[in-house]
Amino acid sequence: MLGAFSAMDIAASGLTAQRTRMNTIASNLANARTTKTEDGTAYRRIDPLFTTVALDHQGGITGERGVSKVGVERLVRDARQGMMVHDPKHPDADAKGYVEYPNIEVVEEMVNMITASRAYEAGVSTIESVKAMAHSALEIG
Amino acid sequence: MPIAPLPPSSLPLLAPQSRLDGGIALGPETPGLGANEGQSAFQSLFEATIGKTNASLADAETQAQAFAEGKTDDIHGTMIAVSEADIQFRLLGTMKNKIVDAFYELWRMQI
Repeated sequence: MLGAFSAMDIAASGLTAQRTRMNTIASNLANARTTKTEDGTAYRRIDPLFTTVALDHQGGITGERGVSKVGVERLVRDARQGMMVHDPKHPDADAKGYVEYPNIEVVEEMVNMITASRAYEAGVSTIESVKAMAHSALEIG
Repeated sequence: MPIAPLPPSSLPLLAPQSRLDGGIALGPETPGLGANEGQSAFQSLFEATIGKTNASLADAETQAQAFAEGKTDDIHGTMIAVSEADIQFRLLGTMKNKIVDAFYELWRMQI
């Protein structure tokens, strides 16, 4: 049986997921010009990979099993090649004098940021609605 | 001050030994009504609600304190715990009001 607060738990998992996404966007924007990571290559943008997470207690109504929370399975690195710039005096330039800059489009990250913050707002609205429903249920009688 | 979770059996108010029970009990010869059964079911329901509310409040307090001390930065988790505790407490208050209303209803009854 899904309890009264299950919707809140589900929405909360969405908020956590969007917060993780915001962290990756912050990382991507902060490293938009980072030419050297720990393994010596240029930074490449990361994205969170979302997956469904089963609720702790399920069963009851038919089809309730499909109701699930969201979780971040792992962070995936975008394998696209970054921009190659010819700059032989750069310390991170390769043998041919090219420097690889990160494969980050700032505009793309801004769009992702808008999506993430709107999705977060949607989750908060869900929680507000569940609260309003609980409060109006208490008006009965 | 931290709130400890309340064990469900630690409430002396509605215990079966109370004077209320001795006064209202219909006696063992009354068939079919199951007055004692009904009362214990109601009592356990009320006790369970109090226990749940107390646990919610304790959880909200723990999370709010951890957030204030900087041990966690889970803003929405904390706010949701506080909201849940708020709703649970309102439910308890509503139940209490209903019980007090029912008591006064009986009190005013003409015999």
